[in-house]
Amino acid sequence: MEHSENHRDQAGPACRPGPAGALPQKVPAPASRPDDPPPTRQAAAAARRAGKNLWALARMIFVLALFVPLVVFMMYVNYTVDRSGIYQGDQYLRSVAQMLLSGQDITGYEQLNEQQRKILQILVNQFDPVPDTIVLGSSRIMQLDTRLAGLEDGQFFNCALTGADFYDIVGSFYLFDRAGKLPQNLIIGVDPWLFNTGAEATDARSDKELYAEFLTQKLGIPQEYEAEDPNLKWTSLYSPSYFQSNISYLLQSQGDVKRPQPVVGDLYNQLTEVKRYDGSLLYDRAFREQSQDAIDAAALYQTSNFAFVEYYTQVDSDRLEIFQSYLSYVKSLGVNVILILTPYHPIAYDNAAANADHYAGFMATEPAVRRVAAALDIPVYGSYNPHAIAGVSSADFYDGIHCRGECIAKFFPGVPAALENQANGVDVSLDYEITAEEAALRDSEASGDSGTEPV
Amino acid sequence: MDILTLPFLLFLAGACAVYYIVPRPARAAWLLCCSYLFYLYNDANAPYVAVLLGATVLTYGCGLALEALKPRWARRALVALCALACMGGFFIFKYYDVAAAGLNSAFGTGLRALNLVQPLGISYFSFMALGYIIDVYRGKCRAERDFFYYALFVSFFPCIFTGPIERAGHLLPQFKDPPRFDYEQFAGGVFRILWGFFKKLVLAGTLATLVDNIYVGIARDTYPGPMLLFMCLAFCYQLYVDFSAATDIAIGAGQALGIQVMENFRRPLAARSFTELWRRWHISLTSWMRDYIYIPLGGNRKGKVRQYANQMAVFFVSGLWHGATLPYVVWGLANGAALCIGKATAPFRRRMEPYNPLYHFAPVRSLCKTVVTYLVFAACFVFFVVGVHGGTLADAGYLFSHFFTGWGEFFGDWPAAVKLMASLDVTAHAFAATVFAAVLVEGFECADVPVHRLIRRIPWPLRLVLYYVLAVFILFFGAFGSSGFVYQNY
Repeated sequence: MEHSENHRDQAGPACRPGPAGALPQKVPAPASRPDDPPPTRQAAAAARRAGKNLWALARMIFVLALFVPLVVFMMYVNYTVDRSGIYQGDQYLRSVAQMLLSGQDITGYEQLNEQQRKILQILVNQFDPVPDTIVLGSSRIMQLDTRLAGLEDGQFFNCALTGADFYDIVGSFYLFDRAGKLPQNLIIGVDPWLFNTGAEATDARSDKELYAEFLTQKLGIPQEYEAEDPNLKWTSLYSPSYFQSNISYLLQSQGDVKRPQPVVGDLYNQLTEVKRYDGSLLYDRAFREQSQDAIDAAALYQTSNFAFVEYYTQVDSDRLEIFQSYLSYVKSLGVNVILILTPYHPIAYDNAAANADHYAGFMATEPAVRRVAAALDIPVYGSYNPHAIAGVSSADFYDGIHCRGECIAKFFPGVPAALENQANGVDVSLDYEITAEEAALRDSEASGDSGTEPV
Repeated sequence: MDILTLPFLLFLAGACAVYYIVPRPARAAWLLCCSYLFYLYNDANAPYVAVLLGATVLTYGCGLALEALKPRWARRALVALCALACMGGFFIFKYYDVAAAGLNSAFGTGLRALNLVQPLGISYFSFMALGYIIDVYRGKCRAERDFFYYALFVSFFPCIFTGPIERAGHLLPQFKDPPRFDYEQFAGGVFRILWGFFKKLVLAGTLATLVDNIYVGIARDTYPGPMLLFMCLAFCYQLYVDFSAATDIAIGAGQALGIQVMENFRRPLAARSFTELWRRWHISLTSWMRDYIYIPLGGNRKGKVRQYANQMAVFFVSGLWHGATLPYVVWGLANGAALCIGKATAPFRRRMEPYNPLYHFAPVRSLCKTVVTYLVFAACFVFFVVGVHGGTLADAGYLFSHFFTGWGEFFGDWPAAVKLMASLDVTAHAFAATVFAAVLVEGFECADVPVHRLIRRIPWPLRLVLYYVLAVFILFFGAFGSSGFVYQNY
């Protein structure tokens, strides 16, 4: 830093110094001055300026036109590779649903991310019979599969949707209800953002109309709702990040941009995500086998923009009330309900706990959900707090918000056992306010004193 | 509004189009509308527009009152009150919660956190407004009579995001006498924006991924000394390209509107001394500090000891300006100390130069000086990297103590080292693109002419090729969707 008193202001010349308050008097300009150019010369100057501006405009258009091929190329890649499947037709979706129903695993499922809700609609119509147990929720519960649920093939289907919001949770069940295909058991992966009414927690893809219909028809609560984002299709077409994602998909799939298709070869050695026949998700091999540092880095990165809860300051009481009515309605139909709270990566959760004022909504969600569940006698398994679940560590996660199937197995005993617990009045609650230090003490005591594995 | 998004580009295009269509006397009013629209675009900022407006009204009125008042004591009291009000707001939004937490833990005061979100650009517009008041007080600048021109100066949208911290004497005359449309100026401005996008998305984005991923490893003791050292060296460059890219976009946006915005950087990392480096780094803030803190404290007029004390005071304030955490304060003090030591030892070092064999050749001498300056700068920035990542002084201590460990293992087991580097989530293509981008940026910026002027001197076919190269690199390797500029948080 240069600190010289003689140095002039680098911002440029300062205002002219003048005594305070001594402003120059404004002199009215004469109507015309003797040296003014004659009107013809003025007109010529104006014409010259106009010509110059037109020439500048032509140059601008020329330069912009040069970039058109680049934009067209980007749009072409986005349209043809179409990793998230935004531009694919409905006929194709029906064939995908048919593949799942016939017990096939599907590779390249990322391409259908934007179409998952439509596929679910098709699936519900085609289920015959409907699985005994269905799962609703977001990608945070997609690792729950038939094996972890302790059921047989055909008894279970995971209907979780990527980025599912409150409208999805309610609307998805309504699809079954409306079709008269009620399952015996309903597992709901309750995400904290479900009670965040902010725009950040509302997915543009969720079907608000379906939700509104359910509330009006079944709960007797007339609801206002927002229309779907009609622009999503077009904004993705010229999105550079979607372009990069498509290019990386091209590289990842070694130039093969075939649409999602049945898995060929080793299920666990696929280059893209696999949708299992039971609706659960198997991430691609590279994602599953990330190093722990990469996982922790992802978790740390996600703390700077915590998914859907960054501006979530309090649990919306109206929505909580609707949730309670919804659960009550589901139970009234004779469906067993189980709530699952999948944990967050310790880095992500500890950051939220350390900034509890900022993440007040997030921190208040779990107690609120537990209160609602207790009022309706619905069991709650798991916790957002990873320390609350014995044996869970950062190795149990794929990133800051998605836990592995092995992690779910640490707190969820499966559907038959959960139903048995409920029938026997077994208390499955846990200390969800436990800190990392207390959890470490608990784990050391459990391993040292009893010498048994934590339950 | 995030300046790295399409909405900003569309907003700027619309602002420019209308700006050049409306009559010249109405242009300032249009820019003022644009500036407030820019501010209000994000719902999160909307409630804080009152802070911006409040600072504007307060300093506008204070400027007029300063000219009307004659007694020196009254003028001084008014400036002090105005400074207190400006800095009070700045303090409450930026430091209150941290200070309250500190007082609570030290004295059990029970102060409640306010949890206020920092208004967009408060660090920039507060300093601009305060600088104006001091200039009026000193008679360096006359009080602006027209409220709307003044309001535009405080809220001018290219500068409110990440600065530069402009001066009234520079901007106000330009607002009052807007130039006619000039294609060369406009095209230069647009190129400067493209240049900023390229630097931020291709260069700073990838470097940020590398730095952030290595930083995460501190807690797990993952990375050996060479990678930690690389992180700290890379961070200085990342911060430079990140911040200078924001300035490029601000300057380019101003230029497209025919308004010259001050340069904030002049290749600081190529400086050959620490003093020179700080003369070229974040020029608008350092010159602000010089004019409004260092010189009023006595500058270099009151002896060496006082000069060094003033220097330290300035850097202490600079550290605090960046953040109210210990790493930032220590970063400021470390820079102040390095500058003082550099100045104190300069005569001795000059006397010793003839005995240094490396210094016999001018290019080698320059290179050595640049490298040493960079290393000292990077050492100080260890505290900054910790501050940016919300770390503590213990993390800085960890870095210093681990720079020279693990070199043997790292270079002895090359496959393991490659695996470790692969875990940084940056592909070989992206890394190669980053290196290319760095070479391109340094190649263009080494000329002593701003890039937006330099580009107009290149024959047009080559110029178009360059446009295309930048656009293709942004499209393929730009870090879209990454977090914003580091300095937008200050």
